[in-house]
Amino acid sequence: MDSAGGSEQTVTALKVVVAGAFGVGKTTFVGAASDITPLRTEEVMTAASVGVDDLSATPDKQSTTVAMDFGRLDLDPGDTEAAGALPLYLFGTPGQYRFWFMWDELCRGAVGAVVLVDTRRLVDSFPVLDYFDRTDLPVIVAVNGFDGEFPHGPEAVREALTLDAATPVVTCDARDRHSATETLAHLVGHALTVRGGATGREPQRVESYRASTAEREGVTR
Amino acid sequence: MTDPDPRTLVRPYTLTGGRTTASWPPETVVSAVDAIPEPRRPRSAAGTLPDDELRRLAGLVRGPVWLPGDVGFAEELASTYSAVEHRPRVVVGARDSGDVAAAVAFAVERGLPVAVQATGHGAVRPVDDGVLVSTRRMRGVRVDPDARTVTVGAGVVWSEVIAAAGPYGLAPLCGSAPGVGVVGYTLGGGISPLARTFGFTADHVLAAEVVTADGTVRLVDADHEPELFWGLRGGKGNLGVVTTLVLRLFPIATITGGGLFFDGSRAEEVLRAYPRVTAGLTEATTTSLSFSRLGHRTRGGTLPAVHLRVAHLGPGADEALAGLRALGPVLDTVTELPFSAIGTIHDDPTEPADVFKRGLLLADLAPGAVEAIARAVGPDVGEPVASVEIRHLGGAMTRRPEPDNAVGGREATYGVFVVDTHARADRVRRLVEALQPYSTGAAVNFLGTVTESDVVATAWSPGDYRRLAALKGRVDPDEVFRFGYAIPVPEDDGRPPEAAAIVAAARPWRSIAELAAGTRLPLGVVRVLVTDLADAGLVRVHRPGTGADTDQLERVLRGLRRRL
Ligand SMILES: Cc1cc2nc3c(=O)[nH]c(=O)nc-3n(C[C@H](O)[C@H](O)[C@H](O)COP(=O)(O)OP(=O)(O)OC[C@H]3O[C@@H](n4cnc5c(N)ncnc54)[C@H](O)[C@@H]3O)c2cc1C
Ligand SMILES: Nc1nc2c(ncn2[C@@H]2O[C@H](COP(=O)(O)OP(=O)(O)OP(=O)(O)O)[C@@H](O)[C@H]2O)c(=O)[nH]1
Ligand SMILES: [Mg+2]
Repeated sequence: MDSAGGSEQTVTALKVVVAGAFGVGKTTFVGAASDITPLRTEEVMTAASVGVDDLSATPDKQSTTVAMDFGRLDLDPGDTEAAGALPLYLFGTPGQYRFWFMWDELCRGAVGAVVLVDTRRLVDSFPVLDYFDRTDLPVIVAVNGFDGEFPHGPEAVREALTLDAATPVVTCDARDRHSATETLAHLVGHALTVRGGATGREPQRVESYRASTAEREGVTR
Repeated sequence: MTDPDPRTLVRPYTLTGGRTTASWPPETVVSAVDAIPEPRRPRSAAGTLPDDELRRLAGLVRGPVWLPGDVGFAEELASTYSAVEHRPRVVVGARDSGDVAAAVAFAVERGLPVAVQATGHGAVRPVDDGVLVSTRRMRGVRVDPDARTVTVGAGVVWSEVIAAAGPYGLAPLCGSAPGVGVVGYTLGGGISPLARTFGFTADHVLAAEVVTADGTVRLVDADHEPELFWGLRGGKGNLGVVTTLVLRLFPIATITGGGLFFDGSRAEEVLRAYPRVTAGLTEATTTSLSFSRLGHRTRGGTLPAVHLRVAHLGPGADEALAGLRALGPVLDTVTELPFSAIGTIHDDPTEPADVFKRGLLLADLAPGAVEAIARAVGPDVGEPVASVEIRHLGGAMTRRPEPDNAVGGREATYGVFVVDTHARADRVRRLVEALQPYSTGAAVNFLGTVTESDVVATAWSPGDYRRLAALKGRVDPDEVFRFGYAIPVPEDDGRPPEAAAIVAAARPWRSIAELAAGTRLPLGVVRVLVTDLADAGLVRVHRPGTGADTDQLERVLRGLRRRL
């Protein structure tokens, strides 16, 4: 590790935000897609009156801990020799969406956001979607089918969440590496489409992708 | 804890010492700058000490003394495994702990550092100064069959213990190569081919005799100098010269052991299967997997390149090994062996080699880690790395002994050790860097060609490292023992110890989020520390751009699709 070369290389840090209401599967999703054992980073917040220059910030009733999940994929785009040349970071937002200032920071510079929803508790997702409405981040809505059940079709979900036609709605299984990776690919594809850069140039989908849930094809065009 | 109103909340460290910390997002990458100072060197008088003065040491010890150029100097330092050439000012062939104490006192009085060598198999870099204590003559081995212990001198090698204990039906927790020194191996923890069954060899040390930097001979065990006893077991050569060790023996007459060999063309396939086939093994089975570019050389000629080594203790070997054998080896040498044949399991090479080595420990063989190794060993790789060894750890190694010791790496499930020639050191570094995100640190016996103190630090948990450094400050404040994997006496740089942990982790680079998770510090605290470290020139911060460009997005998409 004494190679200067390693530390000189520029590292492009790209990130995707995984958001959603309480208990919707954010931690599970980050863990399924990540190459590293998913980590949890914490931020200590304290009431402003306590003073702001205390490094040791002992949690007490004046302070609270905001946790976020964190994962990393070392992607190989197939065009470089070096291993792990293209890291993609995943951040699962803190469940308490009221910590809006942390979301701002997470979303700044992000490729986009996957908003996980649970069709049994759609109403919980409104504040989350409201938040992203106010940003210009590319967003896709991923219905986490608990136990592979999708009782409501994507169009029904779109309607219930009053999403515009441009926001893709997909289904996923947050526990499954393949499905989580697929959802990420979908988001990145959407981000490219939003830029108008990739329309018509979208590579052919792989077989397993096409074979998955038929209704998805209908809504993502 | 009741949540306060979030609208009133701020980060407690938004302002530190009157200045605002940078608002780097959590994916901001931090990389350690390589200008980490070497261990502090007290001024050495060696340059000004005349040879006559150095020769006076001969009158103070029973064993022989050599200066460079003397007949026997090079022979005394030569090693079977290592080609590192030491050039100390003077070598003492110590005969007993009295000689060692005299040599240490002689060196300290003259401001010289002290190095120690038994076999030379663990040489890290050339010793270029000071007094080198050669322990080859301290060859006492005494087995107590009733207590099931062995007492060894500092120069004893494992094959001698195996031979002495065997007649009593007893066996030591030796390493894979019987020619390695007992003391050097054990002070580094010691990962035996039976490690999953019994834990680290250092967990079975009962007592030690050690000469510390003040020239005193001390007896340490659970009741005497317990802190030194804690640190010696796992702290390697940092705290003194160990002259005697008392180790536990185990009633083992035979083991089921040997190798399953596969052709190099199956390297990737066997590698990918290894996490699965090892996951189901009980603590009775310890295995390792070795890839060798040139094939495994043995007395019988060259064997296939992929070598899965197996050691199983007790009944049920056939059932336990069925999953491994189902991989379909071309050659299966696993059979019931007398314990004395344990060295044939790994069949480590025995020629001196001046090679570049690096090792690290992994929490798990995650898919990304397997990818990285696959890229290094082939079979479709143009020129694979000369040798990659993966040891399956865990089992009894995860349990702390009573009393506890300073051995690190208990949380690891696999260890990886990579070797190639110095000319091809870059390949070794590249693989190690690719594995870094999955790493939990390193085993001190498998650190390899490393001298930077912050990399050496990864061989212990941050807490144990701090405790060892503090202990070093008490027993060796002038860093008399500064060769090998040296732990420097902490200088008070006004930075909290977590700062050192951050520098160590930021190799070759890590995101702030990973640093926070690894050090268990809040993100904001890591930002503060990184700001300080960047100001001090110890780390570099790579601010992420304001977002991905189209080209980057397309590459990410390609990378994701390749996984589907
Ligand atoms: C072929 C081979 C196979 C190996 N297999 C294993 C294995 O299976 N498991 C494992 O854990 N390790 C293994 N190792 C690593 C080995 O444990 C270390 O290299 C160890 O340091 C060798 O000790 P030594 O005394 O033989 O070497 P030396 O070069 O003589 O000593 C190495 C270092 O040990 C320390 N040391 C030695 N003697 C003393 C003393 N009396 N007092 C204080 N410090 C001392 C010093 O820091 C010294 O620099 C292997 C090494 C080789 C070459
Ligand atoms: N059966 C099933 N359970 C799931 C699925 N996804 C998540 N779960 C479970 O649902 C629970 C909540 O999931 P998490 O991943 O912790 O959800 P979260 O969004 O991180 O929750 P918070 O961080 O508390 O907001 C856990 O017990 C998961 O194991 C799924 O697809 N199917
Ligand atoms: Mg969660």
